[in-house]
Amino acid sequence: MKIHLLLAGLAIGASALYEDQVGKFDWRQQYVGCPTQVQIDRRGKLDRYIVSTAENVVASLSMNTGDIVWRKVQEDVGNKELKHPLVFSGQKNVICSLSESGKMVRLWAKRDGGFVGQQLLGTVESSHAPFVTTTADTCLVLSHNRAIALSLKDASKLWEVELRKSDWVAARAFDGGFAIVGGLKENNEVHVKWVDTKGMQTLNKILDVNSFNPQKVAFTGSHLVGFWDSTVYALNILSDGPDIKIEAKGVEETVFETFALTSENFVAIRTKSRVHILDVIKGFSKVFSLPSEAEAVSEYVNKEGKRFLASVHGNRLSLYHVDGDKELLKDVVFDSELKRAPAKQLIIGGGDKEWEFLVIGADCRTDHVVADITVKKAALEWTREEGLTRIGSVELLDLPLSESQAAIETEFAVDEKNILASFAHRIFSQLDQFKKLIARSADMALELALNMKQMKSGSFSDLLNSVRQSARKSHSGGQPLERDVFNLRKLIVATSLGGSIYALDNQDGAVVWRRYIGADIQGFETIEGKTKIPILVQRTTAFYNFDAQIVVAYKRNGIGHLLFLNPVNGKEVDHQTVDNARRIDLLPFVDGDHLHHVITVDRTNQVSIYPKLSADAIEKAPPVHLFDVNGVNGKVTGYKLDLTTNRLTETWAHQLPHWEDSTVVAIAGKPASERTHSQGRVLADRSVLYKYVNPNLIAVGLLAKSAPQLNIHLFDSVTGQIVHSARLPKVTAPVYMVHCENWVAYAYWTEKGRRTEIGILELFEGDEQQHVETFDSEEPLKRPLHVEQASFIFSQGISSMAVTETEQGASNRAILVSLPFGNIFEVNRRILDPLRPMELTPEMREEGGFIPYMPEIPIATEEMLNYNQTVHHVNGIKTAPSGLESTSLVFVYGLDLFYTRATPSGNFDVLKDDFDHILICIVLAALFIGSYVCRKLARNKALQQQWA
Amino acid sequence: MSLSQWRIDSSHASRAARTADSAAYSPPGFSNVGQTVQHHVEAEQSSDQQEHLMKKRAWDVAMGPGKSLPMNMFMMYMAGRSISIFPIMMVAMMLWRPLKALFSVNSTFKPLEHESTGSLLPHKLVFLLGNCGVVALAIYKIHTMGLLPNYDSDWLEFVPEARRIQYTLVGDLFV
Repeated sequence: MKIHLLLAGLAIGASALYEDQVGKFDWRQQYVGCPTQVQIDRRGKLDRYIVSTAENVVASLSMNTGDIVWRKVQEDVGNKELKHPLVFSGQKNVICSLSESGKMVRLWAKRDGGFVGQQLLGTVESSHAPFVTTTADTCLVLSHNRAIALSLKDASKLWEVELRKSDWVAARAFDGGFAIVGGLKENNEVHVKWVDTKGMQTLNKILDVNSFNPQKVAFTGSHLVGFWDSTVYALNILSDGPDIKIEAKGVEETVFETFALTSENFVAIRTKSRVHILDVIKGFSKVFSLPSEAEAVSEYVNKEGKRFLASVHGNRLSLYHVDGDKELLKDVVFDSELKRAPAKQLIIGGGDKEWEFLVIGADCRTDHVVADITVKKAALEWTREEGLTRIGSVELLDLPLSESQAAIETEFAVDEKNILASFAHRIFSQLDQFKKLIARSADMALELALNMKQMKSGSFSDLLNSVRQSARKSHSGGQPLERDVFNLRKLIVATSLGGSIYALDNQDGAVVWRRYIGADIQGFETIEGKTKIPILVQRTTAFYNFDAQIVVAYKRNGIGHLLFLNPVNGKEVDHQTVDNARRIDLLPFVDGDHLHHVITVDRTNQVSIYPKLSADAIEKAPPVHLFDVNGVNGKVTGYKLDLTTNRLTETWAHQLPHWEDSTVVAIAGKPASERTHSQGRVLADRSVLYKYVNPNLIAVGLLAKSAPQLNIHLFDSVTGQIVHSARLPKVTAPVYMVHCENWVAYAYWTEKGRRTEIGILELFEGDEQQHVETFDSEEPLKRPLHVEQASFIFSQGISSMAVTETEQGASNRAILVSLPFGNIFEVNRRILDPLRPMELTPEMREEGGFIPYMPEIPIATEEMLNYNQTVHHVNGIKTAPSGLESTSLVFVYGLDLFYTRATPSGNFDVLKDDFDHILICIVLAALFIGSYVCRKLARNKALQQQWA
Repeated sequence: MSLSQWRIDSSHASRAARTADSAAYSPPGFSNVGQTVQHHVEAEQSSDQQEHLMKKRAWDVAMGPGKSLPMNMFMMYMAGRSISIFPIMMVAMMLWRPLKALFSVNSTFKPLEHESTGSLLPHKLVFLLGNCGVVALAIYKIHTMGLLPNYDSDWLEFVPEARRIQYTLVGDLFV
């Protein structure tokens, strides 16, 4: 039996990758997340940015290339955003980072990211934003209303001091120890505390203020600067005890933001139109005012103590000399893209002639700009699309037909009966193709010549710039965006919760286009608690005479928006607003122009369709049903859509059992495009168990809390009939569910076994097929369904689950599971099969293909789709069919992006990668030539024999 | 030439072989003398015998395939049920030979046609039946080997997907 298992394992594992195939079909992009705090580290050979991000990551980026030097991924916070972003502070060798909203403090070596030590501060999130500051040997952490000093050597706790309840804290080190300041909005108080290096409190003072707004305070040097009651206040926390007082100055304009600058005791305030810099010590005198509007402002002090100020507005950058009031750069364009997201942060790297800047956009895009102040030119050196770490939804789209493919399509589209005419048509189209070929090659030659000319005439800096620009532009070797032979090349369209839409090329992950919608947008919250910015494909690229169209749905200020786009170039086609949309979907049929119309249903069950349906389409439309799960009372309702009146009529309703103490973990239907090739399962006695493939079947997973159990209900959404219900006792989160063909796979944590298990539930009609030609849900089942169920032990945790998809659905399915330690594991359906026999009978052995039941799912490293390319914090896995039946395309997103191809049944329809074409050609040619030569020789010999 | 000219009679043959004066060298068992002499003597008796022999031979031919059935059965039993090259070759030969024979019934019985044998129809029928039996045996063998598409499961991949009547919208439900 063991040998059988081994053989079966070998047969399945044969899809593993060879060493030389590494990186051939797959790519990985590593990200750090949306930067919230950036520091420049210029010690050592390589200049670096040290960043901490909203995704709980501390990383070091190379300033020259933007590559990650080291990256420390900390706890996965799942789908939710962190309450407070990660903060860090560093001295010359060590960084002290405070992750998970103040729960954990960790120390890292600055150069190589080596782990120094850690200390758990609390199990709950800190109520206020945590703060961290460092001295040469101590790291002071303010979190959970406590001040904790840690040794930078080993993260051991030196001392701890309780603080007053506050919602904003800050601290700085001074000769005698630390000065800690905090504020509480509800009490309108500010408190100051001095603690010496031994942890003894030397000063404790509480000051009453008129009002305190934690959003509009900044901490600079020894001063707390805040704005409230149309007054700017400053508090010197280092001034001696009894003299501590708040200085105030009224300002004419409303201050939107106050922020600290690098040089001490200066503060910047942003008013409606301008940014001003105030000297706190000299009675808030205006030191400098930015002459123009700015999205982000930053200050830099060079080695000589000269102060500079830089600002970004759109794609323009300015740099000023503060003391001399001189402008070094004025509105220099650093990026050709006009529709950039506004900058949210600017970091100046400094320099003498060439200045370095880091511009962080509201969509988390991070650009490194190099500006030459002598020639007043700026260039974008590298870009990191950190917005891709927060993907709200992904679709894989076919690329448009290539010119020649489209030409073929047009040729066959013409319906001509006359042979002569069609012959002429053929000749003309061939001539046309030839003409296009010549035109294309002429274009290429011209471009090359122009480039050469530019190279000769331009200065060196121009050349450098052009090289930089072209390096950014070139992706996929300049191949046009066209469909390839096996339709393996696709466009990955992804929406980011950061407010952008991206299109990536699936060959190398290069950004084809990006479109910024706005950082103020929100996604739609699903009933399962996920945030999505749905993408719906209205028309694929299959029609050469129509452009493809997608629709992206998002919310802004609570109002839903529908953005209609051409996915190939990202151009907007149309825009609509919808109110209170509970559901945004595509109608399952097309109108005359091959377009699936968008249907939205709002809270009052009002239906809107974009664009309006034609009367003809309404007449021909098949019956369309909807179902709705009420998140409040757990009522499931079925509706029928009436397209003539745009109304929903209720057809059925029932109550989900145990709703009160349950949460919905999954509502899974089956997409209309899903194909099931085989209608049954062959058993050992060669009889057939027919599958119950109900396209209208919905699976709902409910997790009960008080008596932990998982309830799975399968119901027909047309009739409301509950087809099957399963109850798994002693099951808790995380639960993942996949619904496909006639089966539902679900992963859960069992309290009883204290382990992760994967269960599978498969529905069969029995040995006679009831729904042969058509599937009508209204037709009652003649016999009770045959339900097979099994569960398997999965020895790892699970963070995401998906199923492969192929064009015809004939290949085996595989369940893709992402593991928390960063791997993507492929579980073949042959393993995860409820019909696996308990014991192999001789007949089964003879028939072959049966794997006896084993409680564990073996985890073989060969079946890790991403071999050693670990991916962290996986949010989801998207699969799509390719033109090859064997191949399913897999895109994994989270903190990292990973793309590969999965072949669950092996690569049966293409030649092996190492197939030796050359050898075969040589052998064939040699055979042909050999036989010809031999024939000739044989003839000669026969002739000679005859003469002899 | 009829069969009656052939007769191996040891006494005659030895005598004929010794006589050097024979006009022609005849193969053993062929006797001109016997013919000329005996023809008249045993004319009636020999024609009876010849007819009997002809019939017997015709029946032999007709029964041939039927008789080979048990042997074939044994061979097939020995071949086993595994699907590998030799059993498949054996089964293919077993199927092919009788099939070929079925199409050449008339030519098989051509040499046996003689007015004395009368109608060969029953023989042909028996021959046909015998061959059919062998074919049936071969098909049974193929069936036991699982190569015959006579189960539902063999046609499963040709069952088309059921067309759906109703459509359901299955997109996400938003709060």
